[in-house]
Amino acid sequence: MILIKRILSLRIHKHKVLFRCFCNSVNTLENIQTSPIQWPKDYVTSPLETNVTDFSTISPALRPTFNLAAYVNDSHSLQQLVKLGVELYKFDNDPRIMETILKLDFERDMKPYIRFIHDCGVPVEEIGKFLTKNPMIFTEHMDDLITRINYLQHKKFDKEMISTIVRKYPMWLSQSTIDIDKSLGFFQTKFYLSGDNVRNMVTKLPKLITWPKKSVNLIMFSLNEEMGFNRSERKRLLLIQPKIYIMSKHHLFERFNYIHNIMGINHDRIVLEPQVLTSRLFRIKQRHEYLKYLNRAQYDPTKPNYVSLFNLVKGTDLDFCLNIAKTNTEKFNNYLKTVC
Amino acid sequence: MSNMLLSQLLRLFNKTNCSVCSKRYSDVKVKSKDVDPFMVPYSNSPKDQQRLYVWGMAEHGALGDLKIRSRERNIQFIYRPVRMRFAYSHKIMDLACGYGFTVYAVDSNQYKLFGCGLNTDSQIGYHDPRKGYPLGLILATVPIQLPLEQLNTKVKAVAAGRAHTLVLTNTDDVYALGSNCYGQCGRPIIENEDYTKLRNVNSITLDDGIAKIICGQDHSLFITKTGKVYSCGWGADGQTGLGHYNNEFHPTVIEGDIKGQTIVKVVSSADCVLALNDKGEVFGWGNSEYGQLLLNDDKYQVNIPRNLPLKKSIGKIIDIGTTGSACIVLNDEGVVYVWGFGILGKGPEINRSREPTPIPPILFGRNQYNTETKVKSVSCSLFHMAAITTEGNLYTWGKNKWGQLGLGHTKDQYFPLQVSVGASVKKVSCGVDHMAALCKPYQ
Amino acid sequence: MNYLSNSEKAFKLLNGIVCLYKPAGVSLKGCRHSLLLKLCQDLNSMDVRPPENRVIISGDTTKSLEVKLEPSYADNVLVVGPRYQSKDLKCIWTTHLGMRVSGVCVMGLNKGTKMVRHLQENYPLRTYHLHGQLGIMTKNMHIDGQVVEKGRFDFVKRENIDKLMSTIQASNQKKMFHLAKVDTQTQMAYDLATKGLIRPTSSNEPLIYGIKCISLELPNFVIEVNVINEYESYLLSLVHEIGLKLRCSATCTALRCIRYSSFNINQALLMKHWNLQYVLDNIKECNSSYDKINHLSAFVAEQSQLETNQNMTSV
Repeated sequence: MILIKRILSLRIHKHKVLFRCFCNSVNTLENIQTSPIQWPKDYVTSPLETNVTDFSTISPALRPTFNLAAYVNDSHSLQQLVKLGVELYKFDNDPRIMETILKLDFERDMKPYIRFIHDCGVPVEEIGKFLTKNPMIFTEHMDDLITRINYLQHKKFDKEMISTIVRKYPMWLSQSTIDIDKSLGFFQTKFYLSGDNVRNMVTKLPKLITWPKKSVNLIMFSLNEEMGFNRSERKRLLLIQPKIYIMSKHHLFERFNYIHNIMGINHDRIVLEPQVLTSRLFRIKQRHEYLKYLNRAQYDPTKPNYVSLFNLVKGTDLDFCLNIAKTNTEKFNNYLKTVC
Repeated sequence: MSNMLLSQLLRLFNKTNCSVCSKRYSDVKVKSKDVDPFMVPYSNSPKDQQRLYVWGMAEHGALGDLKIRSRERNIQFIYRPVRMRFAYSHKIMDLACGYGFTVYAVDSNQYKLFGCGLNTDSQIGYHDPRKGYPLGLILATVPIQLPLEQLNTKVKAVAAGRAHTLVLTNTDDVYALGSNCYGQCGRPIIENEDYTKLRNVNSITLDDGIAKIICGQDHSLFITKTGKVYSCGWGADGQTGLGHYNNEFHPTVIEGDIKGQTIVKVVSSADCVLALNDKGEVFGWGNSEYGQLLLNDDKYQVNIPRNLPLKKSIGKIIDIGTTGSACIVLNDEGVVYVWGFGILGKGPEINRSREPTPIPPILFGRNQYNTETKVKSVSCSLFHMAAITTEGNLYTWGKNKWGQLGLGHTKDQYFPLQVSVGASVKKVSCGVDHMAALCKPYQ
Repeated sequence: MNYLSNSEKAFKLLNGIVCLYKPAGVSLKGCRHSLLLKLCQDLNSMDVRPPENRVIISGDTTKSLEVKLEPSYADNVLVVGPRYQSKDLKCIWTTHLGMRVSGVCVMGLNKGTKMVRHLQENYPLRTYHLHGQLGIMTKNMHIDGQVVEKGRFDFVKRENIDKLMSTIQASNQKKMFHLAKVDTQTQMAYDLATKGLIRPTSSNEPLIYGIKCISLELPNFVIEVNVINEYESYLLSLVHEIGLKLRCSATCTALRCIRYSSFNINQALLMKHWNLQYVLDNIKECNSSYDKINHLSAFVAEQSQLETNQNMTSV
C-alpha cells in the first residue's frame, strides 16, 4: 500500500500543471469548510447557457496501481520507451525500478542517456533490449558512465570491443570502475593472462568479470582437484570457453564425469574441444548412446570414422543424424524412446 | 554313480595321506587348484530352450519324476504348473496325456518314446526290474522300446486313450501299445488276455499312409494322408462310426457324411467324436446323450458321421474339441463356441446349452488394450477345457478335483482363467486328471 | 513449419489429451512447466491480437472536441506482457510418474482436463518395462543410490525368473478377486469378468495383471508388467524383491512406462518435439483414440459396475 501511495503522490507531483489547476480554483479545502458550495459564476447564472470554461486540463486523479500499464496512456515518457521497444512489464515486479522510471521525463532525463548508449555502439533496434536489461542506468551519473567507457579505452579496448561488451552485457555500465579493475586484476593474476588475453576474454563473456569471485574460485578448485586439469589447461578452458566458469559446479562435474569416465575421453581432447562441456548432459548422453548403438562412437582422431566432440554436440538433431550418425531422424527418435 | 564313488574314494585317500595313493591319483584332479571354488562358473541353460510344464494328479506318477519325493511327502496332486527338466535333455516332438499316464515323442537316435504313470495294461511298455513282475505304476519318465526296423526312424506323433497308446512314425507306421479288450490296438481280441504282461507291440499300416492318430476312450481313429478316417475299438455308443454298435478290431474306413471329404482333424476324449474337414465344416458321431451332436430327435447314439449345422451360425471353424458331455469349437475369428452339458465356461448358472453359444472373448484377455488377442487353439479332456491364445497364454476351465486346471486350487472353475505358466505355451495336452504343456520362453 | 498463423485459432485447438514422453530425471511439474512455456512461446510468435483501441477526446471543451481512435498503449504487448502466458493454459496429468520414471505421460490440456479425469476414474491399465541389474543392492533400490551389497548372480537362469514371474502373477490373480470382493466360484465373478478386467474397488492398492520377463542378459534383465494403482517406489521395490526371491540382489536401472490405457509409446512426443505443431497433431491423434475407448461399451459398463460395486460395499 505504501508503494501505491508513493506512486500516487509521484503522479500528482509530476503532473504539476494539473495539480495547480485544482489549487487555483475557488474550491479549496478552506472554502468548503467555511462557506456553502460556490458554483462557478457562469454556471450558476444560467445552466443552459453554453459552456465557456475550458475543462480539458481537468482530469480525475490517477488511481493507485501495481503496474505501469495503468499509466502508460497518460505518460509521454513511458510511451516513448514503448516505442523504443522496452518491455515495461518486466519492471512490474520491482517497485524500485518502477519508481525510478515514473519520475523521469523523457526529453530531460532520458534522452542524454539514450544518446550516450547509442554512442557506445548499441544500434537503435537494440536500445530497447538494453534498457529492459538495465533500466537503472538512468540513475547513474553521466560523468561516471563516461569514466567507465574511458577506463575501457585506457585499457586498450578498441571501439568494437566496447560496443560488444555493452551490447552483450548491459549491466557493465552500472559497475564501478574500481570493481572492474579489481576483477580484471583477479583474472590476470590467477590465470597468468596477457593483456590481449584479458581483452579477448572480456569481449567473449563480459558477465564473467562481474560474476561472484566465490563461484569462480569454486569452479577453479573443482577443475583442479576434482577433475584434474592443470594450470595451463584451465587457462585454455578460460580462453576458449569462459562460460565454464559461470556454470553450476554440479552440472559441470556431472558432464565431465560422463565424458571422461563413460565416453572415455582424456583431458587433452576435452581441452581441445571444450564446447562439449557447455552442452547439456542429456544431449551428450543421447547422441553418444545412439552412436554406440550404431557402433560409430569412435572419438580417436587417428582412426577412421572419427567423430569430433564438437561435431557431436553441435547442431540440431537433424544435422547430427545426417552428418554424424548417417541415419534418418525417425530411427534416432525411435531409439530415444527405448532409452531413458 | 561311478563319479561319486571315485570322489569318495579320493576323499578317503586324501584322509589317509598315503603318499603312493596321492601320487597315483595326482593326475586325476577333480578340481584344479588355481580356481577359486566360490567363483566356479555355473553352467548355462540353452537360449532357445523348450520347456515342459506339468500339473494335476501326481499320485499315479503321470507327472514324471518330480524330484520332490512325492511318495514320501504324500503329495497327491500339484495344482500349479511345475517345470520338468526332462525337456532339457530330450527334444520333445509330441506329447499325449492319457488316463493317468503321459507319453512323449522325442527326437533322438536312441530312445524315441518315453512314458510315465499308470502301466496297468502295459500302455507305456513292459518294465520289469524284477523278472516276471512288471511294474504297474512308473513314477519316472522311462524309455519305451519300440520294434523299429531302422535306427533313423523318428516318432512323429503320439496319442493316448484310457489304457492304450498309439505311436506314429515318419515311415507311416502306427504302433499300438496297451489294452486291446475292445480291439482298440487294431488286432484281434483275445479273451482273458493278461495285458499287464504284454510285451509285443502291434504295428498298424494302412494303404493311404497315416497322417494323424487319435485315441478315444477305448477306440482309435486314424486320418490318412488323403483325408479319410479309419477307426477301430469299442463301438457301444457308435463312436467307431461304422454303422453298427459292435466292437471292431480291424481299422475300417468310416463313411456316411464324411465320405469324399478331406478330414484334417478328429477329436474324441470319451465317446463322442467330432471331425473337421478342410472347408471348416464339422461332422460328428458317437454319443449324443447331452445334445453334443445337435440332433433334433431323441436319439442318444449315432453310429454314422453326420454333418453338424454350424457353418451358418459360426462360420469357418478351425479347431474343435469334445469333453465327456460337451463340445467346443473355435472359428477363424478366434471366438470359442460351446454347447452340451457340464461346466461350459459361461458361469456357474449356465450348465446346459442345446445351441452353440460363444464364450465372451474378453474372458480370453481381449479388451480395449489388446484388441488383437485371439484364441489360437482349443483342447479338451473328459471334464475340463483349455484354450491357447495368440500371445501364448493358457486359459482353463472345468472340473478341478485334482488340480488339473493348474490354477492354484482344487475348486471348480466356471469361466476361463489364465494359468500362470511363466512361458509362452505352444502345445498343450489334457489328460483326465493332469495336463502337460510344451512351452517356449517369452521373447 | 506452422500451418496455422492465427494464434487464436491455435489456442482454440489446444483442447484435449496430449501424450508425452517424459524423460527420467525430470519431475512431472518440470515437464508441465516446459511444455506450457514452449506452447506459450509458439503462440506468442504467431499473429497475436493487436492492442485494443482507445477513444481519445481532446481539445478545448468550449469548442468542438476532437475524437480520435488510437491503439491503446495499455494493451501493448511490451507493457502488459506476452499475450499467452503459462497460467492461461490448464494442464493436469493422469497418473503421477516419479522422477526416475520415464515414458508415456498423458496430460490433459484445457478442456482435456475433463477427459483426463474421466480416464482416471476408469482405473486404466499401465504397462511398464522395468530394467534391472542383478548382483547389486543399493540403499534406495535404484542404481543411483549408495551400494550396500554386491554378490554373485550367474546362477540365475531364465527359467528361475519365469517361475518367479508366474508365481507373482498367480498370487496377484487371487488378489484381484479378493480386492474386487467377489468369490471366483460365483456368477458375480463371471459377470464381472465378462465386463473386462476385474478392477480393484479402491485406488490405493497396487495390482499386477500380468508380469513377464522379456529379456535376460546377465546381469541385466527387463521385466514387462501390467499394473494398476502403482507408484514409483512400488515398482522399485518390486525389482528389489525379485532380486531377493532369485537369491541374489537386484537394483533398478530404469523404469519406463510404455503404455497408459490405449496410449502407447509410439505416439508419445519426445521432449524436443514439445512445440505447438507437434502437440496439436498429437492432440488430434489422442482425442480420436480417446473417443474410441470412450465409445466402447466396456468402458462405460465398467464404470457403472464399479459404482454399483462401491454402493454395495458402502451399504
